[in-house]
Amino acid sequence: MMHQVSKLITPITFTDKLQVSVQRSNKSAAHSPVKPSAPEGPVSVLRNELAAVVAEQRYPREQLGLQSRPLAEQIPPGRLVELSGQGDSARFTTAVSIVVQAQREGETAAWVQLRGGSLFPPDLDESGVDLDSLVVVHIAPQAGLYAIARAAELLLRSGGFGLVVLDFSGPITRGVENFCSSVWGQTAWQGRLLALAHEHQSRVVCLTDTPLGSASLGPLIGLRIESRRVREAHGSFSLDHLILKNKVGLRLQPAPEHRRAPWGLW
Amino acid sequence: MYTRSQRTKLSCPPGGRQGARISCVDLPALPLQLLLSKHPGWRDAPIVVVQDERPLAKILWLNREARRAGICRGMSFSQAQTLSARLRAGVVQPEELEKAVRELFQLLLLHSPSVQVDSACTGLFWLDPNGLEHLYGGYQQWACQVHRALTGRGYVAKVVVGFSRYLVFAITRAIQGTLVLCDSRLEQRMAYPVRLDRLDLPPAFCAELACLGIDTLGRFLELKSSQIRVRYGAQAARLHELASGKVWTPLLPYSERAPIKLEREVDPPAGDQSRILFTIKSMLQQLSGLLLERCEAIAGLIILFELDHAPPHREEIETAAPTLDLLLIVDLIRLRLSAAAWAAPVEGVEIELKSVRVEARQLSLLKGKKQRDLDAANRALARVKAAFGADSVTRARLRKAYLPEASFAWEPLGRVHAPKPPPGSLDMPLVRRFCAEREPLSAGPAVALGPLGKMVRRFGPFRVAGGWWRRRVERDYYFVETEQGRIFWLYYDRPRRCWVVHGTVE
Repeated sequence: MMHQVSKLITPITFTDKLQVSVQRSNKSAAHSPVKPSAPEGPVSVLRNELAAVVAEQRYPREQLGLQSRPLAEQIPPGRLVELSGQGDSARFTTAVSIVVQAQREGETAAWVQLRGGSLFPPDLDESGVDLDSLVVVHIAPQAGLYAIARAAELLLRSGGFGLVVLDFSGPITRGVENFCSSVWGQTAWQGRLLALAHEHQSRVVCLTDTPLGSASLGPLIGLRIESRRVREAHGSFSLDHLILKNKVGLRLQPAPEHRRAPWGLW
Repeated sequence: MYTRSQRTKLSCPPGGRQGARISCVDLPALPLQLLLSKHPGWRDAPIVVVQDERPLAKILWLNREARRAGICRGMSFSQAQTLSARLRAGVVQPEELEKAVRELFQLLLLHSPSVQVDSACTGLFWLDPNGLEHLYGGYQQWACQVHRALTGRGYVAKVVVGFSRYLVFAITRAIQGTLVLCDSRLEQRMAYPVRLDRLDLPPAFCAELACLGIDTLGRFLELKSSQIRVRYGAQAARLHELASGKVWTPLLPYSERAPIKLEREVDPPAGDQSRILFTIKSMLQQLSGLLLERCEAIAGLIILFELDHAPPHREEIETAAPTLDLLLIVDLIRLRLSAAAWAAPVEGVEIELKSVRVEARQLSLLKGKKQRDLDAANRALARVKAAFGADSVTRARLRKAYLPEASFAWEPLGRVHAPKPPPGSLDMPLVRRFCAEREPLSAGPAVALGPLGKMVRRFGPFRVAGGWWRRRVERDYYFVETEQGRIFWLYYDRPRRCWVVHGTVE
């Protein structure tokens, strides 16, 4: 019986269906200023968890010799990764830990944001980022969010960058008038970035404000994660990562990470 | 190939299960035994195992005849040759040793479900004999069976069943054949007279103790643990605690690694080879992640095609060398499938990978990872500057300033450098999102933050003041947590009497 169930619930079958559903929803959303909602929220989480449970029963991680590792070590190259969330989200901290990990692996990293963006270098320095080698590209807000993708494309095309972070999130992006029409649901730029990432084995991380129940940036996003911070103890937080979408063909089980609060917060 | 599985707490009071047994199987000088098995005619001659095939190679293992000739460990082969003209020497490659240990592990698994290969001591195995006495008719019979199995393969082995791990190990070094200890007091009586130089301790440590007249385990245990820590360091103190039973280590049994297998249903059944090929490709992509995590590469694969109302079809493919290049493997499968003819459409595919362990450095080579071209990266930066302005490409420079907005600056970046991150820190903070353009809030955080939500917690104030000579700055910084779980970093601007959001914690 278990065998039959596991045959029915193979992860790829699910992701294929998901890809179709997201494509459909994005087609309808291309001309709409409202972000489309697709069955990618709680249903997606439930599906991923179910698939993980089934897979765990078939291939126990201990038998396979696998250990849970921090998320930053598991981000696959050659894929588009979206870090989304609102409220108690910790996507910025997660993105910075991915930058740190990339730099530890000897990869050059770039961060593309709108001019006057949200990067706060003292915190990056405390997190272990080598600020001298981190390229930060500032795009004029009037150029629109699409220009962020264009700058990222120019960087990735060279093959000289192992990680490019595209910051589509934060209050400043909400004021950009062509936000919906320029980036949301458009697959052309995503297709180009994905192909370049795949060719040069680079990581591409997009930060968005998308809430849990809404669709991701597009169907070519291979991995969508919502990171949440949970207060653990006095001045200590835990980062829990929720995998909302996983098309990378690799079961991810990121270990919770511990972070201290900035000085003054406890 | 074996991996650590679930921990089993065993033996050794205090803390362990009372009365639980543990067994030590020792194959003394295993590399020497392997060398002798290759050259049976050398049995009566002085024999040494050397590091490699050079005259200055160090001697790692030696037999009794060689010891009688005055040869000792650590000596070079050319030095040893001057001491004995009959000396025979050979190299035992690590792969040979690993293969032998794997075979022994498989053999011992037939006699106990929990077998631990001691990583610190070559040829030493730990077994869990508990419960097996009922099957074999007693611990003595079980030990004899294990011993017989090993001697049957041509090995010299010793098997001891006892209670305390370290004392059992010490006794194993002193006896021949098999021994089953019936109580822990007898175990102590037998272990205490064992000489320290037989317990694989550092020779310098043994020599230092010998100067004090301490040459047996019993005398060593008479010393105070705290004094040993002060005089000889933490490692010696740990050894004392282990031997005296103050601390104990559980048995860490190893089990065989599960084969990497994946099956997929093909619905509806397909006779089209390209469709099957793409199914296999996606399965391989899924499995390659597991391989990476296990530090293994593909050496071959077995594909089982389940056919619709027909017997299954099996294909076996081997690569020229272990690889993680999926395109290469898919190409091999395509060639094989083009020559295959199925009796019926395929309704399911099962893949089993034959994998071999490779070093992490090899793995990166197999993946085809190459160094980033910094010149190409610099050319890309020039293009970005051309497209978005010369000041668009920057790097952050930290400055010493008391106001957060003045503590850093964006400076134009000419060339990108290879990263040199500082060593890993465990004390990473949550990162703040910074609002460069600050607008005053319509309401204060006493009750509500206006459109930002309702406050539930507040941390502060932290006063920042200065700049009286130019433009007076006096801020009370707070962290404010809202009902939605957001944490704002804001301040009360005293001279201007307004609240300003400076950032959020994300």
